[in-house]
Amino acid sequence: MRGRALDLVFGLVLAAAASLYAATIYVVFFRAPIEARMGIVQKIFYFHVPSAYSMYLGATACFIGSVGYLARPNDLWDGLGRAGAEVAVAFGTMVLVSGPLWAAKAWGFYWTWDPRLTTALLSVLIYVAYLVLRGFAGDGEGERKFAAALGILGAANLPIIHFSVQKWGGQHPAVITGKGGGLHHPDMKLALTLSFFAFTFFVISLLWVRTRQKMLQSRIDRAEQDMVDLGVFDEEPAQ
Amino acid sequence: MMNQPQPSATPNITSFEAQAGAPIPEQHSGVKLLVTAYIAFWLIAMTFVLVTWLRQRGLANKVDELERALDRAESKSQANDDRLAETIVKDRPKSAQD
Repeated sequence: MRGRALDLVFGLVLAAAASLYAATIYVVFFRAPIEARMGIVQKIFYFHVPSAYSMYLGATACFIGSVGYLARPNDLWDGLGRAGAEVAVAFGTMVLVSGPLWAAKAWGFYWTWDPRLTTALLSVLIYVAYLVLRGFAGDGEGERKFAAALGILGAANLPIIHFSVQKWGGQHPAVITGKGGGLHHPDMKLALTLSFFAFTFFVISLLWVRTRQKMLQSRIDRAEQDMVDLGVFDEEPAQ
Repeated sequence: MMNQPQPSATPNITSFEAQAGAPIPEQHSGVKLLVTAYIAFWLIAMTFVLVTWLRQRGLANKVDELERALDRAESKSQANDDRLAETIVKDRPKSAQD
């Protein structure tokens, strides 16, 4: 009964993400005006900024899972940490791809070792290291704890990324500030708001599915090991 | 892709917001950059979803494999039980069998 209710909630979250993406695409391309100076390339912004926010969401999930695992080791926390790292890498990659494409037009070059760009790249590399560790170093207690420590270290970089523009200046714009996002046209604001909601629901559904898969994977591995021990199953489980 | 900064050619944009002033000269096609960014975005998102789906299929296959192994073990155990019962019946004295 509880499982069915959860499946229903998951379905609703996924449907919300899909409809919000459709609405975002419509508003971005058919309603939001083309920015006068940067031209059409400014529309990258409506997916670039929410991608960065989604990377933060994934990294936060990884941090919560990592702290939870170190405090109380179980499959749920471990799965959440790993799912969070995957989401952080996927959306971080989107940020690192879409940002330079915007910069090519706005700055005249793709990349510069600006504080925000450099710290964002570093953050993605930390989560890539987390996933490489989990993928190749096995799934033992020690590896899980080491990865959890890396997940906490990765989260320590998030405030540095966010405040790097204010602290050290650089080329990258301060996007979300106390004065607002800087978008003056109501349709521009609507496009960005819808995009934030779409990304939020999409990230929640990805975290949900991946965490449940990781938990199931751990249970299957244990069942397989038990069957090998009992002589019911011939093969050693793959690590 | 990672060109070095060219200060003289750099339009000084440090904001995503609506800008005053003359439009930036067309060094790169804005439409091409936008389309590339959106294709990259959807490609990454769809790859994530595809990998998730493949892993789900892998888990389902693993469960099937374990179920088959359990079935094999069960039928083997059943066959052993039947053989044992047959042996017991055969070894019992004839009077007891009647």
